[in-house]
Amino acid sequence: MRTDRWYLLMILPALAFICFFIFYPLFQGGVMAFQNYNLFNLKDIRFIGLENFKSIFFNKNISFGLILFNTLKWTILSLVLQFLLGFLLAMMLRKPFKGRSVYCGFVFYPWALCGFAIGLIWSWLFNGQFGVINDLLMKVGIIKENIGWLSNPKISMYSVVISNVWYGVPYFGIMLLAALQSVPSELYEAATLDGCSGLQQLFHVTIPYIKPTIISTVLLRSMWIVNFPDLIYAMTNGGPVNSTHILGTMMINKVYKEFDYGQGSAYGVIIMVLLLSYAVIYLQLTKSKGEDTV
Amino acid sequence: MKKTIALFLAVVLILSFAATGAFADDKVTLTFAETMTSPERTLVLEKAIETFENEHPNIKVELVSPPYESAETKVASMLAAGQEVDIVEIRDNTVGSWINNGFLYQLDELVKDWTGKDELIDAALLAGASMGDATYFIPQYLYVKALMVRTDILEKLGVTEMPTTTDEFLAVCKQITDASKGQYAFALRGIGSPCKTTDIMWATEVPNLRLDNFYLTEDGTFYMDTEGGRKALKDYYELFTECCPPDSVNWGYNDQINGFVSGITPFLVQDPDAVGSVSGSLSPDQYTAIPMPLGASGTRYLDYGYAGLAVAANSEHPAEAFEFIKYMISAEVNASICEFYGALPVNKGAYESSEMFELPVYKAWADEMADEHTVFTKFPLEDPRFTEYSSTVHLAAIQSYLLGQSSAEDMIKTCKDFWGY
Repeated sequence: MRTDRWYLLMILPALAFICFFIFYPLFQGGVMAFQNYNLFNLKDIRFIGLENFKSIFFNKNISFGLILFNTLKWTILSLVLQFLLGFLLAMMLRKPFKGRSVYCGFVFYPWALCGFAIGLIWSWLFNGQFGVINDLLMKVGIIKENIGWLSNPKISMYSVVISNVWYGVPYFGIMLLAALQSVPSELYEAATLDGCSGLQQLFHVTIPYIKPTIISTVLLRSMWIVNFPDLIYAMTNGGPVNSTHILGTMMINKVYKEFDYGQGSAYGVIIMVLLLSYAVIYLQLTKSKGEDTV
Repeated sequence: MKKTIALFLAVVLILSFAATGAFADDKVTLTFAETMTSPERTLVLEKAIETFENEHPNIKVELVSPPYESAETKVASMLAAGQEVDIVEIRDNTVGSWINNGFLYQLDELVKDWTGKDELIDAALLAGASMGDATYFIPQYLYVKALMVRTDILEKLGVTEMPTTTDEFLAVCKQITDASKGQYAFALRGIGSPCKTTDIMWATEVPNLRLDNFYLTEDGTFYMDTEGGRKALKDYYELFTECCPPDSVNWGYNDQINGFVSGITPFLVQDPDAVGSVSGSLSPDQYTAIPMPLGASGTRYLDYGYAGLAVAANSEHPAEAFEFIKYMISAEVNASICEFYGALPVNKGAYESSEMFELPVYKAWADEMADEHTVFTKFPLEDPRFTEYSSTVHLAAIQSYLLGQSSAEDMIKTCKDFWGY
C-alpha cells in the first residue's frame, strides 16, 4: 500500500503535465464547440447548444457532405498510395547494396520537411503556367496544352494527393523496412526449400510476419493524413470551388480567417469523434482475427 | 551589538529596496506588439526603436514579434487576457473587432493637441476616422489599388495609349492576348480574398454607391444586382476566359507578381506594396501604375486598406505610448518603414524625404487619389461576416462562375443571400 502511494507520487508530475497540456486544452476545445466564441465579439461569449454544429451541417454555401467526401477521398487515396509505394521502397531497400545508407538519406528526406513548405514547393511544381511538371510533360510530348493541376476542380484533389504521397512514402518506407529487417532469414530459407515462389513468400511469410507493424502504421498514418491540412492550405486554399476543402482546412479557415473559435472547435470535435470511431472499429476488425496488434 | 545588528538590518533593507527597484529611475517600459512580423521587418522596427530610445532616455520599448501566421490571434489573446501590452499594430480587417472588444484606448484626448495630424495625407485621416466618431488608432501606411502596367511589354505589343475606361481596358486586353504564344493580358487574383480586387474593378460600373459600404447603392440595392453590376460580371468573365491564363483562377499574390514580372500578364491590379515585390526584378522604366479604369458610373470607388498603430486599453502609460506612435508616424520613420513594404506612407513629408516615393510609379498613386473621379468608400469590415464572405463564400462563388460551373445570376444570388440585402 505504501509502495503504491509512492508510485502515485512519482507519476504525479507527469500526470499533472499531461492534464495541463493535453486534457485541459482538449476539454476547453470541447467546451468552445458549444459556445458563441468569436474574436470579433468577446463580450458575447455564451453557450449556444448545438448551433455551431448546425451551422456546419446545414451550411448553404459549402455542403458538409462535400467536405466529408473530400476528407475521405484525400485520406483513402493518400493512404493507399503511400502504403503501396512505401512497401515497395522498403522491399527494395531491404537487401544491402553499396551506398544504401546515403540513398536512404535522400529517400527519407521529404519526411523531414514541414507541410507548409512542401505545399509551397509543390504548388510551384504544379503551377499551370510556370510549373516544371507541365514543362517536362510538354517537352516529352505527352501533353500539348498546359494542364491546370491546381485550377481544375476535377483534378485538383489528385494533385494535392500526389504531393501528400511524396511526403508520406518515407514514413511507410522507414517503418516497414525496420519490420522487414526483423524477419528471420530462416523463414525464407525454409519457404524456398518448400518450393515457395517469391510472390508466395511475400504473402505467406513476409506480410504475416510484419502484419502488426502494418496495422499500427496504417492506423497512425490515416489519422495523421486526416489531420494534415497544411499541404492543401498552401497549395489550393481548399479550392477551386471547394474541391479540396477537407475538415482540417475548414477548421483552419474558421479559426485563422474568420476568427470563429466556436465553429473551429466544433470542426475539431467532429474530427475527433470520427477518428475515435475509426480507431475503435479498425482495432476491433484487426483484433477479431486473433492478432494482438497495437 | 545592538548597533551592529541595526546597521546590518539597515544595509539589508537598502539592498533589498535597490534589488526591487525602489530606487530605480522613473524609466517607463512600453511593450510594442507587431502583427506583420517578418525577420527583416523586425530589424527595421528594432532600428527605429533604438533611435526612439536614444531620443527619449526615460522610455524603453520592448518589441514582441509573434509569428506572422498567428500574430493577430496571438496579440488579440494577449489583449483579451489583460497581458501587459501598450502599443499594438492594427490592420483594417480586424481593428473593428478589437474596438468592439474594448481592446483599444480612445485616443481623442491625446490627438486633440497633436499638431502632427496636419502632416497626414487626406486618405490617412479618412482611414483614421473610419471606425466611428472616436479615434482609436493612427494609420501607419495605406494600400490603395491601382492598375500596374508593364509599359515595355505593351510597347512591344503595339499598345501606346493606356486604357482609361473599363471598356478600353477589356479591348486592349483582348488585343494583346495570344494564348498560342503564352501571351496573356491580366494577372487575375484567384485566391486569398479576390473580392478585394473584383469589387474595386466592378463597382465603377454602378452609380450612386454608398460611401460607408460600397456593396450597397444609395437606395439599398446590392451593387452586383444592378445593370452595371451585371455588365461588370459579364466583362470579368470575358476577361478571364479570353485574356487570363486559365490557371490564374488559383493564383495568389506571388503568382500574380510572377505573371507580371515575367511579362505573361502585363496588367495587374494591386496595392503599392507590389512595387516592393517587383522592383528587385524590374527597372523603373519597365513598368508604371495608372489610375484604375473608369466604368459607366464615371466614378472610381477605391477603398483605403491600412495598417496602423494603437494604444492598448489596459496600458498604464498611454501618453508615452502615444509619444512612440507620433515618432513612428513622423516623416522620416514613416518613410523608412514604408520603404520596406512599398506601401503608401501616411505622412506627407515621407514623400519628400524618400527617393523611393519620388519614383513615377508612386506619383501615379498620388494622381489617382487626387483625381476628381476618385471617391473613397469602404468594405463592410466592421461586419463579422466579412471574413467568411471574402475567404470562403465569394471565393468559391467567383471560381465557380469563372470556371463556367454557375451563371452570373447564381453568383449574384449567392452573394446577395449571404448578406441578406
